[in-house]
Formats: sequence, C-alpha cells, structure tokens
Amino acid sequence: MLAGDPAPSGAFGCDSAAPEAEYEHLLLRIGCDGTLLSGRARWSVEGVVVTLEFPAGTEGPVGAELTATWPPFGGPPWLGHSVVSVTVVERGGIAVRFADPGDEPARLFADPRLSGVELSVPEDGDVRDAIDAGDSEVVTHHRASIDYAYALGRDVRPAGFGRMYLIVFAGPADMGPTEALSGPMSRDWADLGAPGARSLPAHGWTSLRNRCGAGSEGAVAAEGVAGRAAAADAAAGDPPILPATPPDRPTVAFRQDDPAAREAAERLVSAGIREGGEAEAVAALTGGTGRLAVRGTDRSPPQRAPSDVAAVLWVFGGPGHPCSLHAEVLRAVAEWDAPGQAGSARAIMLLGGLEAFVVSGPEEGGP
Amino acid sequence: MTFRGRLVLGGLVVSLIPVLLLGLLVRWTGVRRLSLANEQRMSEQAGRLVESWRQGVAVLERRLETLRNMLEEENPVRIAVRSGGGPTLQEAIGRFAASSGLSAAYVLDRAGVVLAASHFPGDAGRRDPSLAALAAHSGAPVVTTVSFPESDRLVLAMAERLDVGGVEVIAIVAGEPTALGLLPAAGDVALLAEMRELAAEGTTRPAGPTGEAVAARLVGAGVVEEAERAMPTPGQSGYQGRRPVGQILWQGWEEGDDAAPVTLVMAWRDPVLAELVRDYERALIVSLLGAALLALVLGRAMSRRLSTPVERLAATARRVHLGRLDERFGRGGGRELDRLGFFLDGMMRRIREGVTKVREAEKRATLGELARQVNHDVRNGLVPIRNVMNHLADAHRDGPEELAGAFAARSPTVEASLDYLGDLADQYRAVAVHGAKECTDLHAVVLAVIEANRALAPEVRVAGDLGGDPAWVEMDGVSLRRVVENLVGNAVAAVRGAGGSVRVTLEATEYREQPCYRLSVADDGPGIPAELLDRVFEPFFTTRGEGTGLGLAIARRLVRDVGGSIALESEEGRGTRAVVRLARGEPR
Repeated sequence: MLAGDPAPSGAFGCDSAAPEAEYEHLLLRIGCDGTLLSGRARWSVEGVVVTLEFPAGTEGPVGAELTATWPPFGGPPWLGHSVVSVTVVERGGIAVRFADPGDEPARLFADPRLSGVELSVPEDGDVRDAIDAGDSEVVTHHRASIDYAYALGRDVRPAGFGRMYLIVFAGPADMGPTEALSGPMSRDWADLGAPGARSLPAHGWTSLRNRCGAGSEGAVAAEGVAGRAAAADAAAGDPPILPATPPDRPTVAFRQDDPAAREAAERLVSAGIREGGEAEAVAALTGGTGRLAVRGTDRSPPQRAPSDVAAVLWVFGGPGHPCSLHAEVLRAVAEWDAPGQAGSARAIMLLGGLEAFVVSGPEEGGP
Repeated sequence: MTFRGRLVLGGLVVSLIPVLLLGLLVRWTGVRRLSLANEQRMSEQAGRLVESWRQGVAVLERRLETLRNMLEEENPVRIAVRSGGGPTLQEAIGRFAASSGLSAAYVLDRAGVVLAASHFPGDAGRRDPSLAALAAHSGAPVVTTVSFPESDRLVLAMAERLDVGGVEVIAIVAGEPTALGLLPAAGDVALLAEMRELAAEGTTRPAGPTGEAVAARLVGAGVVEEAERAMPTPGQSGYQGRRPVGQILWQGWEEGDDAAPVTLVMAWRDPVLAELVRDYERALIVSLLGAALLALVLGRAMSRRLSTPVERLAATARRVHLGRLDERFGRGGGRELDRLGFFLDGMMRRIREGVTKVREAEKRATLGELARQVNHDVRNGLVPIRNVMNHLADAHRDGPEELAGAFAARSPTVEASLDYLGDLADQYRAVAVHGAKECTDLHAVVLAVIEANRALAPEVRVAGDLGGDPAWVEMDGVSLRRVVENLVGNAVAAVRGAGGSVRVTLEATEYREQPCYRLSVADDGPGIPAELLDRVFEPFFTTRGEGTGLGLAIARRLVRDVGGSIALESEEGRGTRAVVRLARGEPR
C-alpha cells in the first residue's frame, strides 16, 4: 500500500521552488522532482482502488460535492484510465476503483481538472476589460494582459495549469530527428518565448510513449476522432500518409490568434531555413518538401490542410499523470489529422508548457 | 486567259496597288509619330522613376536613423540589447517596423545571430550570414531576399553597425521595393535588373543561374514580368524601349552573400502603338479586301459591257457561211465596235455580191458543161451510126450484094445506137436523172472508162485491179458510166501534169449484210483540205479552176437513187480515194 500525507509548504524533496507547491487547491501535487505529494487530500492505494481522504477543515469541495464537478469518465482527464466506480466514503473521502492498477493511478488526482475548482480562461474579447472590471480572479495566457495586470499592481501568480504545446509532423514517424530538434526548440521556447513558457524535459514524447505504451495510441486516437472517421480506419502503425503531390509551399498550421502557437510555428520555419542539423531534422520530419511557411487557421485545433506538413497543437497543461498527457496528445493529434488517417503513427515533439496566470482583483483601498 | 478575265485582273491590279501604297504610307507615318511621342513620355517617366528611387532611398536612410536612435537611447531597448535580446527587444523592433511602414527590421549581434526580427519573431536566436553581410555595405541600399514566416520576399535593405552600450550590433531596415514606391511593377513599364560590368558600361552580361533564381524572385515580387526572367540580352524581351535608371547593390545575384552592383533598367512596351498597328493592319486588310471585291464586281460588269458586243460580233460571224450571207453585224458597243460592225457589214455585202457573181458564172458554166455532156452523149450514140454509114458506103462501092450484107450485119449496131440515143433523150428529159431498174456490168464500164482515160491522158498511169468476172450492179448503163467517168476523171485530173497515178479497184464484198461491189478510185494527187472535204458533194463546188462542180453531186445522186453509197476520203498531200458501193444485180 502506498500513501501520502498533505505536505507542508516548502517541504518538497528538492531545493528549487516548485510552482506546483503553491497550488493549494489541488487534490494532490507533484513536486519539482516529479514525486507525488499530498494536496488538499491524502491518498492511499490498494490494488486498483485509490482512496482520497480529506483532513478535517479542508477547504473546498469534498465527497459528493467534489465528484459532482468531475468531468465524465472517458474524456479528459481520465483518458487512458478506465474508472470502474467512485465511492464516497466517510468524512468526504472518495474511493476510486480502476479497471487495472496501471502506472501510479493516484497521480491522476494531481490534475487541476479534478480539484473541484472552476478553471476558466477567457478566450474571447479583451482580457484587460475583465481585469479592469476587477470582479474576480482572471486566469489568462494573454501576455499583454498579464503585463497590464503587472502595471496595475495586481497580484499575478501562476495558475498551476496551462497549455502544453507540441508539434506534430506529417512526415515519417521516425522520432530520431526530433531529438536533434527538440532540444534547441524547447530551449528557445523557454528562453525566448512568452512569459510563463517553460520546457518540460521530463516529458519527452519518446519517454511518454515508452511509459504509457504505443499500444494505446490507436485506440485513443480512434476515440478522439469518433464521428469523423471509422474506427476501422484507425490502424496503428500504418505508414504516414503524405500528399501524393507535395504542395508548392508546405505549411505549418497554427491557431492564428494564439501568439505562442504562431511563434512555435515560426521557429520551426526558421529552423528549416537555416543550414545544419536542425534544418536536416526539419526536412526529415516534414518529408523534405521544401521551404516551410506558416499557415494560420481559425480552427482549434487546426484541421489539417493538404499543404500541412506539421502543426502546432496544445493540450491542457496540467495532467499530473503522464499517461493522461500521452492520451490527450494523441487525442489532439487525431483531431488535427485527416479523417481516415486516425491512429497513424506520427512524429511528435513536445515543445513545452505555457503557464496560465491568475490575476487577482484589486485590493481594498488599492488603485 | 479570256478577254473578260484579263479585264478583271487588270482592274484588280489597278485598284489594289494604290490602296496598298496609301496604307503603307499612313502606317509608317502613324507609327513614327506615336513612337516619338512614346519616347518622350517614357523619358519623363524615367525621370520620375529616378526621383522616386532617390526619395525611396532617403526614406530608408531616415528609418535606419530612427532605429539607431531607438536602440541607443531608449533604455529598455538598450538594456535588452545588452542582455542579448529577448521579448522586450522583439516587441520594440516589431513596433518600430509597424509604425514606420517597413517590411522588416532586424537587430543582429556581431556574429550575425538574429536578436530580434520584427516580422519573424521565431527567427530570433538564429544566425543569418546573409543579413550580417549587409553590414559590409553600411549605409548603402542593397536589394536582397529575406525570409518571412510565410515566404521569402525581395526587399530593399540598408544596414549599419552600431555600438549600443559597448555591444556591437547590426541594425537593418528593409522595405519591399513596391511598398517604398521605388519600382513600378504594373502596366507596361517594367523595371529590369541587368548585370553590367562596371568597367564596360553598356554591355550586358547574361544572368547566371543565381541571377535567374533572383529573377524568379523578381517575378514573384511582381517587379518584372515573366518574359524577362532569364534576361539573356537586351532587345529580346518584346519591350520597345529601355533606359537605365540607376545602379544598385544586389545580394544574391551571384553565388555567396556578397552584394553585386546591378543596373536597373526601365523597359516599356507601347500597347497603344501596338494596338494602333494591329487596328491599322486590320483596316488595311479590310480595305484591300473591299477594294478587291469592288474591283471584281466593277471589272466583271465592265468586261461584260465590253465583251458582249464583241461576242455578238463573234456569234454573227459564226453563223456566216456560203448558204447564209444575209447576216448583219449591226452596231452597238461603242464607236470602235460600231465601226468594226460597219466594216464587217460592208465586207458581207461585198461577199454577197461576189457570191452572186460566182453563182451566175457557175450557172453559165453548168449550162456549158451540160451542153458538153449532151454533146458527148449524143456523139457516143452517133459515132457508131456514122461508122455504120461509112461501112455501108464502102459496101455500096463494092457492089449491091456487099451493101445488103453489110446492112444486114450492121443494122443491130444502128439500132443499138438509136436505142441509146432514145434512152439519152429520155434521161435528159428531166435534169433529175432517175435511172431505170436495170443491171449493168460494172466491170465492163470501168474497163471502158480506164481505156478512155488512158487515151486522153497517157502521162497518167491508170492501173486497174478489176478481176476478170462481170460485176452486175442494179444501175442503168448511162448513169453507171457517168458515175465511173466522174470518179476516174476527177482522179486523173488531180494527178495530171504531176506524173501521178490512179488505181482503180473493183471487188465483191458485203455492205450492211447485203452483197455488193466496192469500187475504189484512188489517186496520189495533192488531196483535198479537210475543211473542204464535206463540201465536195455540194452542187457547183469544185476545188479545180475548171468544171461546173456538178459532177460529184450528180454522181452521189445517181448512186443514192439506186440504194448505193459513195464516200470520199482524202489526206492533204497524199491523195484522195473515192469509194462506191453498189448492190449486186442479176443480168437480164
């Protein structure tokens, strides 16, 4: 039996400050060294049952009130985990039975989406208007709005979740070239990118695949494109399908109102232009069809166009369980991919996360 | 070619040549004047282009100065430069480019690493040797190609090395030529880039592979047209004129990152002139076709007007022959043709008078011939009687008994002669001799006639191939003798004096499945011209100066009266052959 107690603030197993430690609303937390820590709850594991217990006086929803906020099983963040039953036990505790023990299923409860706290990120309109209104906390990725909040002297802190950006390639599924590319790309992502951008060296796609298994890819991908393609078409391991005739200008798709996605797409284009190993890696991953160009799209995630040889996608950035992340990536890729090619093996490169920030309302008596 | 065709052709030539000459003259004049006007217009435009070029470069210089001030004087930017770029510098350079209307602005470190790219934030952190090479031409405009996230673009760039707080950086500003108002890219004026040797101004070097690639980018940028991509030599592009407007550095024209001097040439077409020429040529063709059509119609009408009277004269002339001399050519068709008709009518009048005289003479000759024939025929009957009378007179001198015996012996002869004379009288009773149905030995008649002609014309060799058997034909003896005498006499007359020969052949044959005798009389005389051969059986027609021209006519009538046939074949210079076929008869 494995178990953990709520950890005192600052009592993580490493020296660096782990922003996750500040997320007191989380049921469980993951330390900077990747270890699972208690949050609002303590956990214990017996076989396929994970039990969450809440100390007396725990703030936030517990028991049935908490489970009522959980997303439906089969969707995020449950992807890759088959839940058999959820039982409310004494003092608001919750026992969750999984179909199989899996790989540390308790880590699943470090996902902010299971914390019982509403996570809303305004996507439309000017976030600065919401900040000016000052009615409540505002969660945003919008860089100018974050700068604006700083300038107003508002309390701005990481939200504990965000987006995980990745690039999927339409070329051969060989992951080898991504190793030459992912290092510089992730470094630039964190060093030159937007505030809150961070690399995720522990979550390389290859390691995720090794840990969570390629065998689940086809099923998850097929699930992700339900209604768009027959599951029979989703044959894992099929060779990638590229356009029969390479387009004049192969493109990298991105959601055009997402500056971080645009920047990632531009970095891929830039890497393809230059000479050296990065350009070779880009050519190998995109089929070597020529100079790349960015292609903005209104759809989220972008839907693959015939000219697309790569796309910048993002998934929810907070999954505590790596296999949930793995599954969500596959789901996003399947949504981008053309119908009929769901489940095809793709070369995927995780760029890094982009933290969301919480902007608090104005303090009493403040400006 | 007919007279009418010649008239039409002549009309065509006469009408088309002036139209063609006039058209070519108008074309030459119009093209020349418009070309001069276009040259003037293009010269003015070249001047404006040079001025806009100068102003565009000045704009770029001012933008570069602004960027320098921003990098050196704005503290957040200066700090960002000192710290190796980052979001602050990126945002600043982006704002600068957007507010100044530039296509791109860069800040590079001394190693050529992009610290910030206004239009391509994702390019930051990468080394760009070609951009760094622009610093070698500090302050000079250079045409180059830069990468945008969407594509590569041709820009006019200007670079400068700066020292910002002890950090050496390269500041670059760039604008698309058309955005800077530098290059006219549309219409019929194009700005071409030609590689020229500085030492040999005016000579053009063909663009190499790199030049072609750059030219392709020019096409993509809308600066030059497709036809100018390769730019092998001036004058092969379809442009009607070109004028150098300036020189500029061009990075990428040749291999490597160095910028090469390139001469910009303004080239132009003149669509107005081209369209005018096309319109004019269409009009000329239409005019020529119209003139040709008009000439055809008028020529045809005029030729008909001219040729109709001539054809009428010709038709009248075709109707004229000896039997029809009352045709009149008349008048109509103009004074000249009236005169011709007048003269022809006069000629016809004279011919009619001549023919009348000739016929009168022939009639007289006919009467003479008839008299001669009668004389001959009568003599043929009287000579035996005279011979009998002489015999009787001789017998009377010898004694009465001799006289009685002679009378008894010669009285049949007298009776035969009297019968002959009686028959002769019957036959001359009417000019139309109509022989009685009786049979005569053609063989004997022919022999007699041959002998008689041999005696009359000993110089003519008259040969006979008659066989030895009698040849009875159904024809009276007088008529038969007249026919044979006519044919043999004509043949002898044809060769007489020339030492020719006549051959008479008699043979039994069939004609139209009926048994008959074929008598052929052939001579080797001069023959009869073909055009006269059909007329030899006409009454009073003769090819000789003597004779009535009735002989063959009478002979044909006699032969036809008994159901026979007579034909004449002749070849001029080789002789004439007369062939008579007469039905076989039974001796009575």
